[in-house]
Amino acid sequence: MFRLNKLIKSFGSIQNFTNWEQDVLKASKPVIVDFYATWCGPCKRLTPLLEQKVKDHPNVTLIKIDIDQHEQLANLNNIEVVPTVFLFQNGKKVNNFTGMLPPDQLNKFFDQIPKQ
Amino acid sequence: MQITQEFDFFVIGGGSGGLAAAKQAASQGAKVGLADFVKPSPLGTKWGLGGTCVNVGCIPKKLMHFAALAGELRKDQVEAGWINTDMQGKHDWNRMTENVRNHIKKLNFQYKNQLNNQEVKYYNKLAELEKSNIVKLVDKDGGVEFIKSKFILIAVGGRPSYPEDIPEIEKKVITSDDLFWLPNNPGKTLIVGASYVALECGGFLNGLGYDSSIMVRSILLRGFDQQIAGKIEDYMVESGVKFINEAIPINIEVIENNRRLVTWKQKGVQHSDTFDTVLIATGRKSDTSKLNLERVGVKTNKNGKIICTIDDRTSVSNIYAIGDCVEGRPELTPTAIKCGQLLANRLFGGQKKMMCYQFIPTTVFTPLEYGCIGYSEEEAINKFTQNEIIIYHSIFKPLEWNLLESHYAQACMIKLIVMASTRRVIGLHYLGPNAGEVVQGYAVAMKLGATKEQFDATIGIHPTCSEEILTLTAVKGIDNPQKEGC
Repeated sequence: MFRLNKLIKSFGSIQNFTNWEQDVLKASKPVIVDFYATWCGPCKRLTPLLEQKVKDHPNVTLIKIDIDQHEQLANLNNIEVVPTVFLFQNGKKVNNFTGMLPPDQLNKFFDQIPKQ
Repeated sequence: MQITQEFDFFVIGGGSGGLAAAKQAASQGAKVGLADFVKPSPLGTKWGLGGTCVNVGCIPKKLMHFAALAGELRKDQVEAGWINTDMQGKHDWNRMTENVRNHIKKLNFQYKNQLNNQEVKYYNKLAELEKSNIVKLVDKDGGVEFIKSKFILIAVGGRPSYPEDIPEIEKKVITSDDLFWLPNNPGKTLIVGASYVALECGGFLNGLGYDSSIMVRSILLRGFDQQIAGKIEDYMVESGVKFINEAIPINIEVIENNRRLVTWKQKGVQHSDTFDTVLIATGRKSDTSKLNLERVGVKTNKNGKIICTIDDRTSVSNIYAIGDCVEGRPELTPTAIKCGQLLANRLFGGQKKMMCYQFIPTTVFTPLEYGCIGYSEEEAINKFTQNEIIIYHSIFKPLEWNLLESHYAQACMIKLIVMASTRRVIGLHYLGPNAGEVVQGYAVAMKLGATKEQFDATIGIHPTCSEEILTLTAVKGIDNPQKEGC
């Protein structure tokens, strides 16, 4: 039983957004927050890439937030460009980027997220 | 009544004029608030921050005009040598409107950010004047608040007006408020109107492949040079637009398949036809009726336009107004922007400069574009008499049009109106491709008082259409505008 647990790999997950405090600040695992807009071309290209990389990473959750559906939240976080991506760990913002990242930079962003 | 905030400057209307004035005032250190609220069109269309230009005017218009031109270019592509050009390819309305919509939403977002960055407090609420220094703000759920402001700026712009004599017309037709956001293509369309809005919309709809008819009561492009207006019509007719001249609609009925049966009178005779869409573009009116202007004492003319002095002040000393809602102002974005900025500089920046409305360049984006600065031929003759002016003219053919034989050789024209005594160029008219780009630079010269000789002494860029403006020799009434020979 013990050996079987060690063999099962864990995968990152994509979670529906309900509450900033619960889903982001109080999360046990690192959280990537993807602020996007339905009218934004680069957002449409970035989000699937984030989803893929999150699935391949063992220790991270992805939350996607439509800035038009959550205007106040976007304002509170000073979102001026879309896409804007935050990385939260233990309730603190530890990394972020805006716009579409080239592959090597996106890899670097994910490599810096602790794997457990 | 509880006042929730106090401002130095409160702007009602977040369009071209309002936004520019608000941002400039904030940059001069004023505490600024701005209220923008879009009342939905009778068909329910609404949009975000930025006003008419961004959402239902200049921006979507130019993009759709460009889309139509892109389609027209397919014919030239074939003669330019491109293989497998699909001449029969149809237009995907939804793809175009989605791309246009995405761009507009990006602009709405950018404007909101700009206001935030400049610390202008933005209210997405409908404003009305409570007192001369108090504004009532109502949100979409009916919630009310009041703010106080030392100065108030009214920049509410205008909305399309509807003919008054057809019953329930507002539910049976669309206007420019609806056209750019239409969820499905408009199909066979009747455009009623003779303004640039009617001609531009009819023009690009035809270019995109939709059967288009334009119903005109009397003349086209009132206020613009009528010789050029005639040539614009000729070009549109050559392109397949149907004009129904000297006609007015008398009834519009909704029939099966949600189509429209339109009955009209033309020279005393009644006609009718069916269309998928009827677009009304017969004029715009000032959006001031619900502002409570009368109660506070702000005077308007009978069309609802606010009466202002040259320094944009209304009849109430701390209330100002700019843009389309003011009597006598050109209904253009750049003039509203400049006017708003100069006003903010005068109120908060200690500056004195007033807005100058002379030699303002503009362009009509009909299928063949028309750019002009200064006096039309009619205006010049009216003000100065025929003897005091000399008109130079030329009919020319853009070089690029020579690959495809079917291009209309006499379509393009240039006219320069010159004061005989001073030789100053007081009117410039260019009918041809890229008119906006061609004409812009000449506005600098004309504002500085350039003469015909100074124009002629300037070397042209070759080969362009613009260089024709610097090589005019034919005089109207004496010489043929067309060059002889090959």
